[in-house]
Amino acid sequence: MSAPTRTRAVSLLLDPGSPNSIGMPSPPAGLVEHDLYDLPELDLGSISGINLASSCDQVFLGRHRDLLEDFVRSGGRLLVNGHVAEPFLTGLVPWRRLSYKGPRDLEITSLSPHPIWEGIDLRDVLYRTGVPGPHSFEELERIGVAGFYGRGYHLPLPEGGRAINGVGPLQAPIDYTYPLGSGEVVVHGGVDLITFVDPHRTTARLGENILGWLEGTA
Amino acid sequence: MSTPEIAFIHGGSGSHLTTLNEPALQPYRLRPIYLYDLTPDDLSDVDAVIVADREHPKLLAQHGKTIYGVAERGGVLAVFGQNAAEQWLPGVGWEPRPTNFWWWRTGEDNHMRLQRTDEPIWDYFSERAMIWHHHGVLTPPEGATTLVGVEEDGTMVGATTYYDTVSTAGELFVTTMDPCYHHGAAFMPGASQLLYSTVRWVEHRARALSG
Repeated sequence: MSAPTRTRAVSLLLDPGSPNSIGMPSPPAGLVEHDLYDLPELDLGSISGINLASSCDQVFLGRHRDLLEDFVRSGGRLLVNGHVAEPFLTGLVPWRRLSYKGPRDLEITSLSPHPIWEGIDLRDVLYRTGVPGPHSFEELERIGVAGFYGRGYHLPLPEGGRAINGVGPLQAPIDYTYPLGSGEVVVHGGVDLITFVDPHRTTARLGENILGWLEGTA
Repeated sequence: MSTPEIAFIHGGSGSHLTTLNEPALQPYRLRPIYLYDLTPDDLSDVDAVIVADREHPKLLAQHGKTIYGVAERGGVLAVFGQNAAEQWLPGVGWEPRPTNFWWWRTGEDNHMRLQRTDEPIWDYFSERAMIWHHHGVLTPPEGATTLVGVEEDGTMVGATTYYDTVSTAGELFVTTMDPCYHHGAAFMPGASQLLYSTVRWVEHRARALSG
């Protein structure tokens, strides 16, 4: 049996390395960044998984929906970050904004397991702060800002779709997955998942989880 | 007169598309211009242009002269943040700053200083709209008016938002804030306020200048 040929994981975003990226954590080694507009030139036959950043141009993606669909149907994995306004791939559903009053309405709960979130305590994605150093959850309740993970949901889910995580007391699906051909699509409806990597929290492993899933080893 | 023609240059991001679909903005009949396909003809007959925040910086800079041309011929130009405006707006300086998004939880100084005056533009912008967070400090062109300044170590070092009625025959409103992104992501009420306020101001000025 020959070795798998599709092993590379790539991330597509707007103008990698531009000043807009300053302050964003570096992607894990192995996740290679490309400008979204280079998508048609990529050798998709060597790529196992694509991370689509929330900055991506959905009009452009829609124009290349056949290319994306062929990629997934032939066994590729696609992680869609952000808010899908105009579904650019079979199965994607539009993101909807949640009505919320405070952090309790934005709590994330696990609805079913997925390798990307394995070992992640979802309490660790609720609050974000720029105050340096590690912080307890109780401290973050005082100084943290909630809601970066997401303030919206996806309903109804596509046929064959499965909610991974829910937001708020009603556990509206914020993250979901569905099979497409031989491949899989995962949607995270909020700020890019990769930005939640934090060495002081259980999300320390999130980058490796994402990379492993995109590479097809998880 | 009829409603002014206001072009809204967007990059197709989820936030841009959500902003364009916003019910509160439909009465303005914004003309969506997709940056990837932009040609000079698209802007030849507009009274005003709003450049959404967080566009592809290189793609945007390629069209900088065309976009600035709308102000040069007497139109209104509003430029939102994260657009490397210093690369295509003449006479503008820029220094990035880390974003402090948590100052309101810890009581830290956000360094933003409202420069409110009796000028009519202030009928359009509230403190809530103008101060939430920013991404850097602009040095406005000579003669432009700082609307929100940045004070560091007791010195005003630049602006997060300014307007400019002297550089061109038209008027410019430039900010380092990114209201489309945060409005589209349903994040901050202040961001939605800035978005709505700017569109309202642009319509008002475009009507006045073209009337």
